Amino acid sequence: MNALEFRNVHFAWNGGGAEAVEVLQGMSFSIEKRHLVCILGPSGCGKSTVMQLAAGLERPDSGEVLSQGQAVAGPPSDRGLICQKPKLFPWCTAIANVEWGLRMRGVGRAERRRIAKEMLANVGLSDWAHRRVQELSGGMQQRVAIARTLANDPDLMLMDEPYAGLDVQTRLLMQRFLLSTWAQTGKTVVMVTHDIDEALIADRVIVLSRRPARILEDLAVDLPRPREVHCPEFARLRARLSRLIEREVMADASETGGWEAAVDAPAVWKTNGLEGEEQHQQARSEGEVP
Amino acid sequence: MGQLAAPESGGRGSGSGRRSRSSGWEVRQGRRRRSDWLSRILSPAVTILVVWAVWEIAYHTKAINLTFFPPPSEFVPYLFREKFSLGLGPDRNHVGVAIVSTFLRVFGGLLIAFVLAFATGVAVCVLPFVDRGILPVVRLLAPIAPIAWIPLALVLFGIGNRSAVALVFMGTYPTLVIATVAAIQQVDPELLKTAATLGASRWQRWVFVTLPAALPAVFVMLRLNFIAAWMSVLAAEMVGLRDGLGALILVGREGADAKLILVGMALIGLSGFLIDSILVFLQRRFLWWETDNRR
Repeated sequence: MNALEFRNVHFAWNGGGAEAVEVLQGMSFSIEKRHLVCILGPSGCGKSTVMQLAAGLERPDSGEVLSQGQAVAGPPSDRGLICQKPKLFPWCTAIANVEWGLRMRGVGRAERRRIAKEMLANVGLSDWAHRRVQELSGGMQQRVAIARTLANDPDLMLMDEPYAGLDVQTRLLMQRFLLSTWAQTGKTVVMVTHDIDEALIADRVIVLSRRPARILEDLAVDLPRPREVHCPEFARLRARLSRLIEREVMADASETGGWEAAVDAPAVWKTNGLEGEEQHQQARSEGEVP
Repeated sequence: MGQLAAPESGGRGSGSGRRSRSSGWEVRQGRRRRSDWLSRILSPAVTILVVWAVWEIAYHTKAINLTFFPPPSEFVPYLFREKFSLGLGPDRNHVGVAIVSTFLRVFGGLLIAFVLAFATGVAVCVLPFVDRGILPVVRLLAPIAPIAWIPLALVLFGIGNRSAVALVFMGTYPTLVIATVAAIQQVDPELLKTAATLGASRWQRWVFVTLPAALPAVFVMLRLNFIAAWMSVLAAEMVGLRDGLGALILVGREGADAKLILVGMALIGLSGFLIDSILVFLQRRFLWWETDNRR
């Protein structure tokens, strides 16, 4: 039984009665339990929509979204969603925010205090427990939001660019924390990102095209942890992801217009193009190149 | 302003201060608040002193004829001389009674209007037939000035507190309903989604998200409406009710007693200011998050 499964999901935004914008056109994938999967795609491709559908906040126009073999209907209790913006409750202290989900479920006061304290300690905010959230920096607020979701102990963690607003140092700490939480608890984690390096902490990377989103590629990252950046396989995966994303971004830019100068300019990174690499790979598999 | 700027720049300089509790950050913050507080008291005091001085000089040098506009040196002793008991004949009342009765009328009306308007606003947002059937009527009532209700209130409720409370209610309720509906509609949908993903049921989202998110905006509207309510009560006291601060002015007018009129005006100004300060205090103490966000 899969932790999350999309079966031929179609979804369109109809912004206030104007013409509908096709976001997902027949998306299908399944994510096994205990896996750490990243969904990578260019900005505005519909990654967040995938998360909203998985969380049950949006309904697909057609097709099915399944979690643990059950159709997703309405917001979850066994799925936790972390978004790019923390969206803390401004009238609560940090610890009251972390306790919030437990309080809604009727967990006793002492028990939820204990869990909330533990979660805040995990994200390095023990000293800030009784502060108003307005006193916290943006990065701290996001850590409180992550602690709040983890306090609910969801089986499936849906993370929508959770670290996009964090500085590099905090992001590194949070990534380490995510990996250790995932390894210890055996939760299923699905993380949306536009950062190629961040995507490569996963077991599997699903690459989405520009809107309407299709799955361009589904790559298994079958490498031991911690990941060795200089290992040839890793470098190959990273280059492949960079090229896929750059191709989508440039195609999108030349279609939408307004980016003529950028489209005509030389590439930022030296890439050989996907076709060349595919030929190289083919040649290698045929034994012509070592 | 210089005294404000200096501690602030000091606070900015200590970038590491935010990390630990024991640093000087809170101290600096506290010092800034104190000087801020001092200047907030001093600045209006200076203005009042200047106006007062000009007034006194003009009155005593007889530069202008101010017989019917006596300065505080004339009307404040009047208040003491009369032993804080003002008015004529059977309507003679202690000043404290006048103030308290006006306060109770305004607060009673505001409280009833606030509670009922919030309930109506929630009903409008939850029940479609209330939205269609009642909201248009409320919008029809809202533009009617509270003072326009005075004759009707006196006929319906007679001369007394009920009339005054009804006036405050009619003056504030429709606007507060509209404010509540607007505030509920402006609650961040992302916050409600977050609550849903954390496992909150529909009614839990209402009670624990929509309610606290909408309350501060409605309370701000209440403060703005207080002035209208206050004025309508004073008008009612002048027209029909025999006690309260408004009645003092009427008695002064009838007796051509300029000092009594000015005592009444001064008390009205001070009391109104005091009530607004109480409302600001309540807002900061219990509904602080909205004001903090706007900073």
